[in-house]
Amino acid sequence: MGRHLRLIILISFVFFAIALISRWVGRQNESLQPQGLTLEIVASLQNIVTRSAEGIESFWSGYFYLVGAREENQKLHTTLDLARANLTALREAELANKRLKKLLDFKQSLEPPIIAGNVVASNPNAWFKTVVIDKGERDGLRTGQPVVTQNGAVGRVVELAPHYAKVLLLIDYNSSLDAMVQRTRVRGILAGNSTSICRLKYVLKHDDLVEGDVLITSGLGGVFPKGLKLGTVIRVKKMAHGLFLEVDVRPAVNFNKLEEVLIILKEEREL
Amino acid sequence: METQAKAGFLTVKEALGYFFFGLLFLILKTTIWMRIDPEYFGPDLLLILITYLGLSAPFITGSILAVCLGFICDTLSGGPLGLFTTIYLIIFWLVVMIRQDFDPASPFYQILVTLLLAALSVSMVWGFLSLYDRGFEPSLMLRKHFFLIAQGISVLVTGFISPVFFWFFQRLRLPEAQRKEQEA
Repeated sequence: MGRHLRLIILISFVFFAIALISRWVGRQNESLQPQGLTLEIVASLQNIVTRSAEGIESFWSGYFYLVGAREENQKLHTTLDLARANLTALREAELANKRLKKLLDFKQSLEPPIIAGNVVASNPNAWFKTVVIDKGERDGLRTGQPVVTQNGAVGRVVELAPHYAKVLLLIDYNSSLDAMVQRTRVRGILAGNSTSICRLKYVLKHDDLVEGDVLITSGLGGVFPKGLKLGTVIRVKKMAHGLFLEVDVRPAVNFNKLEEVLIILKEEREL
Repeated sequence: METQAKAGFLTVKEALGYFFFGLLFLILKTTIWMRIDPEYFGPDLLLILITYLGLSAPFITGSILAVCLGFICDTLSGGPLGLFTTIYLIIFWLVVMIRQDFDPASPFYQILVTLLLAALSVSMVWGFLSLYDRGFEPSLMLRKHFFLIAQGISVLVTGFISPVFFWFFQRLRLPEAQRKEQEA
């Protein structure tokens, strides 16, 4: 046991040293932390495996399995997604016009640059909901930047490697953001719980909210731009006790089929 | 089932081999496997590997392998850094402590031990997150029965397929004569 004790002490020292190095290096360059370097190396391998798998999958389904139907289906899906996104945007614009918001902030019209990235890997377990994308610090990404698709908000960048980044999805239990009901402008906090359904918190019992209502980003918090679709209310329950409603929300994005994403390259001072 | 190789000795080649298999399991799980099983019903192959190492690897080499693989798992997952490093290290140490008390070549014991350790691993993640992660709300997760069912199935699958992987890991070891030569 004496030998084991010595070993435990030795390993504790190693951990301590790693922790110290991490903190020290963290001040120098975020992507050169031990986890950033590990992510860079492992994500490169994941990228190769994912691309190969996609290649094989694409070859198989593209050439052997309903060649024309698949392509047409993809086009129709894209068109439908765009139409849905346009509809949400139009409704949002209509409501904004009705409230006679004439004082437009022209700075908002200057959209920050956006780059596209591919999802190369998911989380290795069910507890956390993150993905790794093939864009990193060298592509201009910074922690906290919002990640979206044409269907709505996806999450935000939480960890960087030189060519890869880890994105915390909206459905992760550590994720929460300010949300607003498009129809009634009721606000709440949309929080994930590491399942496919999110929870809208802090909505008062007397607030106007029904199943089917669409949730959008409120723009508060400064991470996501205003008006991005977040999801649809699928359950509203009035509890016997307490001030708030229990609201379940199905996210607008299908996180199980996430392949391409857009990263809004906001400057760090904007986040 | 073959007799297990002597616990307490691993050649460098074997140690590196197990490390790369662990890495391969993680890469396949986060890429191809997730396309098939997005709800995580699948087995925890890394836990099977750590259990096997606990039965057959020396304390220091096994601990280092558990730490390295746990660290990579932490890097790829979105949880607190050190969570899986700690859990896999504890699991390895637990197996080392009990390895004298049962027959490592028996599939029954392999299933039993892996099943218990897989359940323990889930409980430890739950416990650590409840204690140290403010954002973790156990009550919310408990309401989602699907999550718990998926975890339960994953534990069972991990336990019941473990003999196949134990056999496979055993096959990766060098022939006894070569091992004795290297050990000498």
